[in-house]
Amino acid sequence: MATPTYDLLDSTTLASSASSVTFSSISQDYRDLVLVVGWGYADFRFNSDTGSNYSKVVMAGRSAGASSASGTGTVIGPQYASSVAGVSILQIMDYSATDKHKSCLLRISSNASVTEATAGRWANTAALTAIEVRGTTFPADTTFHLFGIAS
Amino acid sequence: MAYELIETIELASAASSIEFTSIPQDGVDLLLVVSGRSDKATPVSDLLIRFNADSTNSYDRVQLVGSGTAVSTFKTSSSEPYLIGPRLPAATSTANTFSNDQIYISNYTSSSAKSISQDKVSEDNATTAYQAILAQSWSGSVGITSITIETFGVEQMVADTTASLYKIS
Repeated sequence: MATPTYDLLDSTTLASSASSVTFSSISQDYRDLVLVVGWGYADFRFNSDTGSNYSKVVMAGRSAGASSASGTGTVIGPQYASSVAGVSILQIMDYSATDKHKSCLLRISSNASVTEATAGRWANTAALTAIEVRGTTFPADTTFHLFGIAS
Repeated sequence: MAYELIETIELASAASSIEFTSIPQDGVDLLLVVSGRSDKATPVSDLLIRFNADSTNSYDRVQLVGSGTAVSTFKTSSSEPYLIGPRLPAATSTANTFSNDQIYISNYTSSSAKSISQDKVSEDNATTAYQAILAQSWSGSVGITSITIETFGVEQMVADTTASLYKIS
């Protein structure tokens, strides 16, 4: 068996509804991060940066047809999804690097309503040490899992 | 431990189904990775997936598809008796080309409906290309203890088709 390369860094299951969950003091010992949210809508903010430093391009499929959009904002998040059950998976590459903007991929799957794929960039060269998951009211029992992927 | 391989099934000969049973209930999420090819002459075809052998109308999906020349979407208007699975290259596709499909199942032991995020590609290094992202759901209110991957009709998955199931905990 190969050596496991996905390590669970932190995990939270909500005992009651909440508007945000924050992972802080993230270990800098991995290459990439994967954050899985057991809900079909979530925004992500890095290192408490509230500036308009997050850009994205997104493609989506829904009953209205195929859609695509791009833009800049204060978070990385869904474009067309609504706050319903589903799963959101965010992968952040080279998150501890201090010489590059941080690239990420976000897959939003809102139960049978919207499927989205987003390529995002945080225009900041600082090492990523904190992630705030926000953007909606997450119901009780929503799960949040942060994984580190070893080099 | 975070990602733990539960089982890999590699077909030694053509078969119409692959089944994972007695899935442990001590994980949080599941990841199913499938690489397959069909013995059907043409056209390419999708596999179907069922949880706990549930063949009632309890599965829904929305999908975005790219074919190399066009983009399209589809949303189920009513629940179906299966989850859509991998799209397999046909027997007439370029030799040795297989599909690649990744299915992430969130909170698989919960008593609520299950949410599924799926990415799949089927490309034969010739004229046929297919990629899709899907949001699917299963309304079952029990933990997933078995997963069955099946062909729709008389076709079979060829030898060397593989399916790996990971538990994430």
